[in-house]
Amino acid sequence: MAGRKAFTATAGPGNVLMQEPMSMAEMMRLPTVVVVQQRGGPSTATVIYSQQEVTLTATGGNGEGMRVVYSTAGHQDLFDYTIKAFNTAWKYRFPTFVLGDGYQAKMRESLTIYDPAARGIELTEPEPFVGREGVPSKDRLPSQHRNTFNLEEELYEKVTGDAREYEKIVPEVAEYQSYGIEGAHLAVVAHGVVFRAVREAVEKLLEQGLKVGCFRPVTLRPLPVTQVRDLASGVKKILVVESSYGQLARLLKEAASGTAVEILTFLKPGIGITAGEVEAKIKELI
Amino acid sequence: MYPQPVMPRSWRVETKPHKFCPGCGHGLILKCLGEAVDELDIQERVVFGCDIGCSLLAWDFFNLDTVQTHHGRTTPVMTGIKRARPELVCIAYMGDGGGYAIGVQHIVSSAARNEKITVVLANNTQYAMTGGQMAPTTLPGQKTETSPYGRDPEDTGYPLLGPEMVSAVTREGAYVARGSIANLRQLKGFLKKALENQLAGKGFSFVEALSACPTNWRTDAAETWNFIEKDLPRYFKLGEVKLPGAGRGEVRANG
Ligand SMILES: Cc1ncc(C[n+]2csc(CCOP(=O)(O)OP(=O)(O)O)c2C)c(N)n1
Ligand code: SF4
Ligand SMILES: [Mg+2]
Repeated sequence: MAGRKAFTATAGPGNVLMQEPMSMAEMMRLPTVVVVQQRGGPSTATVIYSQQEVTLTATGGNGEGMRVVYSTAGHQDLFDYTIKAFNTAWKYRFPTFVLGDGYQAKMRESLTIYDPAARGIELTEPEPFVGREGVPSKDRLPSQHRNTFNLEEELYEKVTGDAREYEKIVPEVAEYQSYGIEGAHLAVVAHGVVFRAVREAVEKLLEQGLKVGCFRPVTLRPLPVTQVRDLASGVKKILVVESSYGQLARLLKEAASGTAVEILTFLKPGIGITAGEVEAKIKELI
Repeated sequence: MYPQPVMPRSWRVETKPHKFCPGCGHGLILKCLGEAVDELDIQERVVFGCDIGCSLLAWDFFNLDTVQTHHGRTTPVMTGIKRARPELVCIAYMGDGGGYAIGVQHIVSSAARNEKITVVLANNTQYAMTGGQMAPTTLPGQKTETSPYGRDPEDTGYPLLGPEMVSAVTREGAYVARGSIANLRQLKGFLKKALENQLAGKGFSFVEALSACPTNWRTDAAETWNFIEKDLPRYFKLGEVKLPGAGRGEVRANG
């Protein structure tokens, strides 16, 4: 609000608490960044491997969940997408999340730290929402930010206006990765660190001549719906692999609804998933 | 044309008459605050934060930049703005429910950290906006929607003494006082000193203002005044509790 870029980092019950200010940020269209390293839940549980904060982070508190959620798969992603998250938040003014997990917060791997300018990335300049130059009423109107409405219609107009803006930015914001999906019978869908195990398994099986590919939504909100629907129309089966009890699968089923694809799951809430396990599961299904 | 009452310069004329009920204390507190802002000539530097509760009705009350926050969260929002832009003067305005119940942790920790903000809390002894439920400040025996037989201290404790609590967790540099709408001159003086303390960058400043809510108290003018002038100060002592030099200020009228 004061014109400085700000972020917070949290997980689990802290992510629950942070949904309160983030729903306010959604309403006031404040550029906020939250870095979440998911922990096993419900609530306190464990602090390591988990993808159990997808529903919470992607849909948020009360309101419509108009936000951007980047799911990272490793250290380079954490660096790249933190830079991107600030730009997205300040450009579009929807709450933006970098969603990793406890495993990414604790593992070691190499990454390249760079100056964004050296790669041609322009950083969006922050601007103050309050405390601008001049005396309110004399030189300018006072800037008054509220989240309280007298009439239902007033709120309706505000929310539908924001929803239209949000829908407009989806094609610019949604990101994904895919590998080997042309001509595949089965596509494995995963996000975050789990996708690394999936990709390793799929690469190995492709070498063995199996018709299998993989797909990673990088943004869980907004989901790359067009690409998910293309995928769902091109393959017979989708296997969703995740370290939760179907939180990504739920998003995916909604995006693919109406297509003929069969959606299967391999769910291990709160624990790690290895390439070997994914490989065995795929072989079982093909 | 009848003569109109003089409004502080920092009030926003287009949004008057204000949205509070007739006889409400909020308008009087905000008048004192507006006059203090005028006298200190800080209108272009103030950010006014209001809470959930009847204080939110002030979201467009002033010709000041304003942020309305979640219930109880005005203190941290103003703290954040102050930290990001120390040249601004940040005022967190809230009710006793917002400040002493759902937001009490923010008052305590920002006081303990000696944040350079000013908190102004309107104590009307209950949750007014929602229809008059018992709050931490409700007097023993006082009837509210949720204490229909009167507050029983055995079950729900005694009224929370905010300035005394804040005073206990602050150190040198803090300014803490309790005023009342029954003595506007004194209240304005406290508010002005609280703002001066922030301007001097000394530390946390906190003013509780005893306020009236005739709507939920279900009192007529005489009863309202009696309650505010006689009953409330029996529990809530008026005066300055702490001065920046760590001393005590103006002798407490009922101390
Ligand atoms: C988080 C949250 N909890 C509860 C409410 C409902 N609520 C609205 S106003 C209010 C009471 C406010 O009382 P107080 O802070 O004393 O202000 P007053 O109206 O008395 O001036 C409550 C509980 C809310 N809006 N948000
Ligand atoms: S309900 Fe009470 S506190 Fe709220 S505006 Fe009316 S009189 Fe004031
Ligand atoms: Mg109250």
